[in-house]
Amino acid sequence: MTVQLLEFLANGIALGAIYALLAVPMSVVWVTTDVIDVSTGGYAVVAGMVAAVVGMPFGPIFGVLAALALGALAGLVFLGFHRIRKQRDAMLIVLATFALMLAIESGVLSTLGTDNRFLNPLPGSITLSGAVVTYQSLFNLAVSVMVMVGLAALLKLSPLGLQMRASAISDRAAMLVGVAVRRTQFLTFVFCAGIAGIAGVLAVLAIGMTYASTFIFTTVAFSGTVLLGRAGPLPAFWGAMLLGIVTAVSDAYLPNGWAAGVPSLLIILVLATGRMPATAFTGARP
Amino acid sequence: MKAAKLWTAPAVVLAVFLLVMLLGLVRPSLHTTMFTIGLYALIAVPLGLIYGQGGTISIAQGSFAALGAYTSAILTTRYGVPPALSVIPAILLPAIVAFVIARPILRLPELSLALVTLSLGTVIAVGLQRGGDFTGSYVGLSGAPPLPLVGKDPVLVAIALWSVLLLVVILYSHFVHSARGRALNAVRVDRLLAEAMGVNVPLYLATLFAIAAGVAGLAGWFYVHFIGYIAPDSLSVETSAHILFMVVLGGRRSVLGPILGAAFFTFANDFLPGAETHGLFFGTILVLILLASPDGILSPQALRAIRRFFARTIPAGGGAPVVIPEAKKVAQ
Repeated sequence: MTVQLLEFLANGIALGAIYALLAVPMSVVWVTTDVIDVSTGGYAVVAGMVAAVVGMPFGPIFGVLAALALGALAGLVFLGFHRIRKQRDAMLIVLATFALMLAIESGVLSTLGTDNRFLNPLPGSITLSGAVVTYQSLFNLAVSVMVMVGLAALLKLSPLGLQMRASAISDRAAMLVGVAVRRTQFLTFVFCAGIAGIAGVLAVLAIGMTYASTFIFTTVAFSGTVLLGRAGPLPAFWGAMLLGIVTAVSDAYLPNGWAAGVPSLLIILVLATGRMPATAFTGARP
Repeated sequence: MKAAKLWTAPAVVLAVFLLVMLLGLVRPSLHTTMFTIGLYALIAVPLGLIYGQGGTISIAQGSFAALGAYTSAILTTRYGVPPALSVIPAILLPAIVAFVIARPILRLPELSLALVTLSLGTVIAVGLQRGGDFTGSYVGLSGAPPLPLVGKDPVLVAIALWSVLLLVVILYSHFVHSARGRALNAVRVDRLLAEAMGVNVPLYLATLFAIAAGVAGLAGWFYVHFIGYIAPDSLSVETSAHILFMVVLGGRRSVLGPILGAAFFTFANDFLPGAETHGLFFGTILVLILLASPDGILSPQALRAIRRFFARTIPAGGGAPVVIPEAKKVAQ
């Protein structure tokens, strides 16, 4: 029983590591631009699908490049709204990213069909306290932690990170001190799409995906982002980890298929019970 | 002037319906197309009211329609309840669910509300998919009896559905021009101010949210008894997203906007090649429309621009437009 639970936990952490790479970029875009990028799931699916079609060893690289290109497209749409519609209306841009998600899903469906795509996961496993843990699970976790460390370094040590943090605190103040806010926000879209692309590559290795995963990944990303009731990459990371564990455990113990509703149920519970500050989506930033 | 405001939209709906139904005598497939447009419009118009006028977005309208359809399908196929009676629970159940969930969620800002209603739709979809024999699981339920009085005749069903839609449009038009409608607009513009002026905002929004869900449930009832079959994919979360698309594209602030969006969506689906590429088309169109006219095609700004264009092209009296300097100063 304990060993079984440990295995579920290990699976949950491996799943949470993928979820984290979806939630963290959504959270970074949110705090930097005030916009929830609904097409985050789309970047992951395109990256995963391209990786699966091209195959190893170059598939993952092409996959992440494709995600970066889509991130640039989303960034251009964002800039277009700021250029053409002078007044700020974050909801309009969210609707536009929603439109982008529809387009991405349709693009994947029309080019690659409805088949489930996957890449062979890393072979082999180790036993920890009696629980079998696959190398793929460990790889997922390692990549996720490395991305988080890289992101922390970028945010704390690089000029781009400094500009991103300045834009997150107050874009107007950042503009006044000479930060190219719009360029920074555009780069944030591109950079975060790349992280979501890495999540897509890990997902196609670990669990596979179809065109319909676009919406699921977006829901998961948002659940992870809001689960701990605070905005920011670190709460998003831990929120997504928790979500992965809850999903894996509910998959094991809930009747067949009900686990699919767990991320959505969590969103309802967190938001309806007031865990998220009322100002969280109205421009207030951490 | 007031009568013109109240009756323009219903008159347009009636005129377009009659025209297309007459064209249907030449091309009968138009009757089925009119049913589809009417069905989407019946789900979209209440969303236009709560979103466009009240600022309360919902991406669960398709799921509420599914709830209504399933309620009626289960009652008629499992318990032998006639459709004329099952319409009541088909409206009430989504309305009650919406009312109960509305109180805690309607205080949320727009984006959170969008995501929480989307999540609600997902939970309903999962429940319908995993409901076993009760909901028919992935296969769904078939054998729902035809609609009372009109049966399965596409012409009669379209007339019945559009009559209900016309009634909804009349009620909508009267509502937005009433004191309560102005109160709803006040809630959208400044919720605190509306509360200060005596509007019980939570109760008011929850009631409208429930009414919107109930009307969607009614559309679901029409759907299941015309098609005779309902499955989780028939009126899914995707349908809710498409309904939002129709409202935003057509014009969320206009009574006719959601109907225009429904017509655009249905005709595009019928005429565009390759169903799998439709999302690309709709996504691109939505981005372009949002950039050009954030309130949709039938937005007040777009209508003003059209009026200005025609005023320039066909000036009154046939000559150049005359601008009185004093009037220009006052306008400025």
